[in-house]
Amino acid sequence: MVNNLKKLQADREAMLPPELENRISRHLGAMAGFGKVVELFVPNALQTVVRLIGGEDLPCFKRSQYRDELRHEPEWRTPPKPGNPGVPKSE
Amino acid sequence: MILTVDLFTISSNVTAPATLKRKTEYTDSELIALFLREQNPNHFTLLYRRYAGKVFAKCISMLGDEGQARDATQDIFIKVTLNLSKFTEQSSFSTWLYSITYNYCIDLIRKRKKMPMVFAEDMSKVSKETEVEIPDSVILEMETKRLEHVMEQLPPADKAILLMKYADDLSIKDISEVLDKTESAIKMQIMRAKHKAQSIYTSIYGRDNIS
Repeated sequence: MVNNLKKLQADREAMLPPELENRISRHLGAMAGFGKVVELFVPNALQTVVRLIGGEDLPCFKRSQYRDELRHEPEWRTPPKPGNPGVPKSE
Repeated sequence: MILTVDLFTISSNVTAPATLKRKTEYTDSELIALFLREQNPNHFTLLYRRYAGKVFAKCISMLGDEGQARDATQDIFIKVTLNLSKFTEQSSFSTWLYSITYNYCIDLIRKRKKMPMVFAEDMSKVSKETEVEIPDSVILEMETKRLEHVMEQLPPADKAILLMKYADDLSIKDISEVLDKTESAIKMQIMRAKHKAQSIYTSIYGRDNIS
C-alpha cells in the first residue's frame, strides 16, 4: 500500500540541520565539564564547612586504619618478640 | 566534538560482541552500554546520527515550525543523554526515544496554547458516525501536500497517534505505553483521528479524489 505519511516524514528527515550535532555536542560538553567541577570541589567545600563547625570527617575523607598504622612510629628500643623471624638477632 | 570515529574497534569490553566490529554495526543497546561505561561522546554521536532525522521530522510534524523543531530536537537529545541510565530496555531504544519526543512536543504545545489534549476522557462525546471504520488507504494515499495540510489542521494528540501508527509502525501496545492509555482507548483514538483527518480533507478540498 502507498504510504504518503512515511514519504512526508522521510522528506522532513532530510531537512535536519547539520549544525545541530555540534550544538548538542557543545551543550553536553559544557554540562560534563560542570559536572566534573562539582565532583571535584563540592566534597572538599563541604568537608571544610564540617570541620569549621567542629564535626567529624565525612566518610569519603576518613583515613583508613592502615594509613594510621603507617603513620605510627615503631618503638626500636623494645626487643623483638621471641620467635619473630622478621628481625635478625644481633650478635 | 571531534567526529573522527575510527571505523574499527576491538570490543573486548562490550558485553555481547567479542569480535572485531564496525562501530556502525553496534546495536543501540551496545552503544548505550559503551557510552555509559566509557562516557565517550563518539558512541552517543552514533546514536544521534541514527535517530536525529526521525526525531526532527516528528518535531516538525508536531510543532509545525522548523526553528522550534530544531530547539526541540536539541532538548530531546540532551534529555535522552541525562536519562540514558534509566533506560531499562523494556522496550526498544527507538520506542523509548519516540515516546520522549511525542510527549515533549505534546507538553510544549499544551504549555504554548494552554490547550487540553483530547483523549479517552472525551470518548463519551464521540458521535456514532466515528464508529464506522475508515480504511487506512484513505489517509495514506492522500497526495503528499494535501496530507501535510490535513496533518497541520489535526489536534496534536491525533497527529501524534497517526504518526506513531502509520509512520513509525508502532504496535497498539507500544502506543498505549507511550501515551499511558489502554489499548482499547488507543484503537478508538486512531479511529477518531482518521475520521477527523477525513473531515478536514473534505472541508478543504471538498469531495475531490483523495489520492
